[in-house]
Amino acid sequence: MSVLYVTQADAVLSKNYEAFNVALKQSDGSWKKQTVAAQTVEQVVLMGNPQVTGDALVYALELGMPIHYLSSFGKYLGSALPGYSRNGQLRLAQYKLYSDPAGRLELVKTIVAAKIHNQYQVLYRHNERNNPLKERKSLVKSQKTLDQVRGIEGLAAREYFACWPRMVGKQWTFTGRNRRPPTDPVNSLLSFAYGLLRVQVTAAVHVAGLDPYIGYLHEVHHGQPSMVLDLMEEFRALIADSVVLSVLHKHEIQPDDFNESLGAYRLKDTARKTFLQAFERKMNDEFKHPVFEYRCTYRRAIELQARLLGRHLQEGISYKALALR
Amino acid sequence: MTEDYLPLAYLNAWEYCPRRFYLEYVLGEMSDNEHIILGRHIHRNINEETTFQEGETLIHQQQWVWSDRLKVAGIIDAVEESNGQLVPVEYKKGKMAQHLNDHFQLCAAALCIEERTGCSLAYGEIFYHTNRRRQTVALTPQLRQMTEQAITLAQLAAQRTMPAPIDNTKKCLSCSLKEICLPFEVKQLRSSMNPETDD
Repeated sequence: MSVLYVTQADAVLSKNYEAFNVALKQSDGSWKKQTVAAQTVEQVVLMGNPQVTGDALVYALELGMPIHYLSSFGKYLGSALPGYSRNGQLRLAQYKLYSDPAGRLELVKTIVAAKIHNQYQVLYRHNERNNPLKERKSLVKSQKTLDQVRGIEGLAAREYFACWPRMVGKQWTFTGRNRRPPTDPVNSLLSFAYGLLRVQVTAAVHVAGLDPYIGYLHEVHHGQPSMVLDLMEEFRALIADSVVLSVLHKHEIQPDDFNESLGAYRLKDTARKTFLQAFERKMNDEFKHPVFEYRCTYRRAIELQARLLGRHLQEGISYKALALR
Repeated sequence: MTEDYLPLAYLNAWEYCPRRFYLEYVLGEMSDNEHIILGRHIHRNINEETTFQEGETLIHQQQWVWSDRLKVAGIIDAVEESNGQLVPVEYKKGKMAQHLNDHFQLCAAALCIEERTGCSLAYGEIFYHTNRRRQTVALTPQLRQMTEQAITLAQLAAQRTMPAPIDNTKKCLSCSLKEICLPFEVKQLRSSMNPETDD
């Protein structure tokens, strides 16, 4: 299963029997048509504003396939979602934990500890062994309030990204994480990768029947989908950061693959395609699950974590955030 | 009218697995797998409510049936009428065997028909698509009693908390809800929580 990305603004996605047709406008004004069997597609991601016919939209929903809309910058705009889980009791359990300080703190600690663990693993693999992340991770356990845990998370994030200038290589300047807008190419890649990850986690949260707007680590405010942001934490380093470092190391993306306008950086079209392919490769990569010991793709792992969180909320089994060696 | 009546199809789920019943009926979860899609496919020719004559037999297809006494309702694939005798018929995808869940569903439909018509039914039939055989299911006092008991238990279970996963690997592996129920994962996480009460 894979994700169908349509990134050309004047493309047209239509339906033909049991397949999707993607019509792409060529520079000479003609149309190039491609057919994609619907059964091989799990989700559709549209960037810019390509057209989708009513037939194609309805067919996708009938097959249980969400269609996600992203701006041409990769910002998540929203989704057309099939009628997934109708599990109202799960939402009630989700709200209940929100107002249970002890249970909530426990869960947040689990998530943050796994996040820092995964960040440490990225550094370790890139020979950045001299860093305090291990201590930060063990410090998480003894914290008494959510804000204290968040404080350690922020500290660890700063220390983690402080190692990045050495890891990204000499032709890139990176002075720390920034966004809205990303002011250097590496930050622009990170933002793009987090946007793509967010699409996947959003879909998983909906599939599992969780309320995307009630989370525990992230505050419920400004309309942020705090449940989605919570679940993203354990995957940021594992998926998004790894993909960024990998395309930089393999020189799949070069400094001249970016457009700069008023200090904001953005990927050019061809490079965007390269990056999407790298991201999809990562999503379909298999690893041995540390808890259940079966082979598992990152794509499945995201849905599994969302569902396991659901089981935790509804059945009280312990939640184990994904932490890879 | 029969909105809060237990649907007959969920009685089948109940006998298959109480947790599946809970996920489907109480929590509204559903998921397709190849078994479900194939089942839907074999029902494609009989999914219309209609009545027609075939030889000596009058066939009523896709009939609503319900019982006010048992608080169950649903649709029976067919009711065949010949010589004043009514025979309920269910279409199933699998192979002929003693599938108690199918028998309960059929028997519950028969109890509904008896309540509605005042006739007494002696047997029902299940058409198993895989080997294209009709199995005759006698509506014995024992089957009737077990069906009524299953209905009561299912209705009670619907008021309670979610049952734990069952211990039946074979059922779990072919269950369309396994990605939602997570039987193996939940059991493993449970046993790692309290190692001494390893269930």
